[in-house]
Amino acid sequence: MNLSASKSELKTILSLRNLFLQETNFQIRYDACHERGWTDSYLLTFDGVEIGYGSINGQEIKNRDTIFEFYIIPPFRQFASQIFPELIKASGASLIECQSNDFLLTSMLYEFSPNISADVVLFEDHVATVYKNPGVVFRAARKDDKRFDPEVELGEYVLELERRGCSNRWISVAL
Amino acid sequence: MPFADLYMDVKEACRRKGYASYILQEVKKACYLAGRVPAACCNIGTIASRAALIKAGLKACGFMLIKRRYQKFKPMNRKLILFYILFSFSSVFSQTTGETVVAGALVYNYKGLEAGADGDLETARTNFERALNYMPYFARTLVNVQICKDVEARIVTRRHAVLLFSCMNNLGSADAAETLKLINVVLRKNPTYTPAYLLRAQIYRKLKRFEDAETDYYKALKLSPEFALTNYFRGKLFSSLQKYNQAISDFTRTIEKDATYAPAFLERGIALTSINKHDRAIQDFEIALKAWPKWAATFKIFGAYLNRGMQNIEKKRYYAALSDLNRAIELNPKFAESYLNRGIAFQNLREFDKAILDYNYAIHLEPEYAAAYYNRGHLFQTRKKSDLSIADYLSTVEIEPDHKQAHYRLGELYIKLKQFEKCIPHFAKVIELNPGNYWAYYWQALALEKTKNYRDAINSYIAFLEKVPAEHKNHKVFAQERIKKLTKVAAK
Repeated sequence: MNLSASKSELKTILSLRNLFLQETNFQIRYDACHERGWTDSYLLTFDGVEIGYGSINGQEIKNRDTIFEFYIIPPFRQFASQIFPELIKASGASLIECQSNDFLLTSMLYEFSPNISADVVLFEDHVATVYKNPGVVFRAARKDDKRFDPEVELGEYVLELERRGCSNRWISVAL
Repeated sequence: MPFADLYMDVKEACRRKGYASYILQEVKKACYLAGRVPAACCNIGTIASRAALIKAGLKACGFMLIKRRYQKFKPMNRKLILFYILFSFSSVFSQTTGETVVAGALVYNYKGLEAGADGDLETARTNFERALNYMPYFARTLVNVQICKDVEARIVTRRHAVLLFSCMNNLGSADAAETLKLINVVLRKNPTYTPAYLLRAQIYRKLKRFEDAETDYYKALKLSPEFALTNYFRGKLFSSLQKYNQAISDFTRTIEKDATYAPAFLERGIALTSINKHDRAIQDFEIALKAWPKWAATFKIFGAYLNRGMQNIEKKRYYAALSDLNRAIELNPKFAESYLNRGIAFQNLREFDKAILDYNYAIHLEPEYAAAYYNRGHLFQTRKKSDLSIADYLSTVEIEPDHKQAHYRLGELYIKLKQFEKCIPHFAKVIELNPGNYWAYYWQALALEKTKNYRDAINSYIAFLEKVPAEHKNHKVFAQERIKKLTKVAAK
């Protein structure tokens, strides 16, 4: 049994990544990192057969110190604990960052890192609400909309209120 | 299914009015119309964002998990760390314990303020009472409840109470100067209404007009001398201004007026700790703990025991240190530094097995705790277990590459084991970090000589001679002889 992890191109792992996205079916927080070129991809093989992939990004964009995606196709998942150290060795990563709803990588995190913390909560949609807010208008953003905070990117939608004392606009972004 | 990551920001002056959840609700609809599923994330500590997301119909579905990095431990800064943590908590959070309690009390207090500002005083009072269910000592909420009661007793009009709640609701977001104008309107009509002065003092504090805040507390005390919270608020003001003696005096008056108000004991304890009166502080903390045991896990309380324990170690009163550190561990069994220090106390009492157990547990809690590895390594070294000692020192320098003592000890051990090649880089590192360490030059020279690097050895002996004090005569003579001999050998 020869398990190995080797650096590869993003396009090489894309088919496996599609399987990962299909299986997880929840929001992947760092999904865009791949297309932005902020990741390194590693192909995982079992006796030369492609069985999964791992992706590495960095706590700083330029770095590659964190394993943030790890996927093994189901028939080979029993070897996850054996192949994960290969990924660590090949990538030189010193950190693991994962979503707690991604069970495979979370189980690797529990197994390989005793010292874990959580600083971000993930949310999914749950129920529809019907709040009314007379006096405010929710609309698509226009080019001439002013930003109330120059550091905040102008989003696709804004909430506008015309009222004395609070005459400016608020900006929302839906990506 | 393509997911859409929601991001939202509300202009500061317009927060706490329900706009955040409204815009999220509308953006969610827009997402579904575009064929995308909304999702979001927010930092665990941003209570307002979490509340807005939940109110807009989202639910928490997970966390981002990552290996935690242990903060570098600096023994010299222990007190500084303690004081920093004490003061960073001496705001509204100082009255509460775990995050859920803080979040619950704050959320319901804000909800009450929102309802009060909208004129719905019944809902406001219900929410304030819910906040008090989370934290019965939450001072701001107690004042808010008092205002609701005063409306029922016709001490203040409903309209003015609504204005007061609007002021409080705006306090964290809107222009404080505008809020001040609004509250002055209430005070002109109700010049003898104590809670209004307490609130205006809060606004002055936000505007950093501390003398005006003090004046308002003074007026409030004149109007209602029996109202214990006024002294408590003023004590907190003094504490924030580092006027600890005045703060202690005010907390004492609060206790005299209402001995059941536990936060006054807690805050007095914090102020006493700040002026190094740990014994009296601990007495206060013990009373506070009896009233509200959930404070136990907060740093301010078990930190007082830890701090006194460390002081006792410095004064070589190890049994007293053990007593304090045992209590610190009892209060918070998950704080590695308490175990490390208890290990040091045990080690000094020659109870080595217990010391090792404590060091092991400190490392279990904080696997990147360099000081714990170093101390355990030192213990192994004194017990002549060189291999274990080297492993621990290596872990220390792996975590903290600039740990001078660990590098020096490693060099020493390798010299004793006659592994001269291995010791050279460690002495080089010690010299790099502390060029004044003449013993590092001496041992480095010896190791270089043994590995036949004669020229480097001569240079190290010369550096040693330049730096070593006159009292080490024998070593100086030895170094001079070695230089002569090695110069001849090198010349050949």
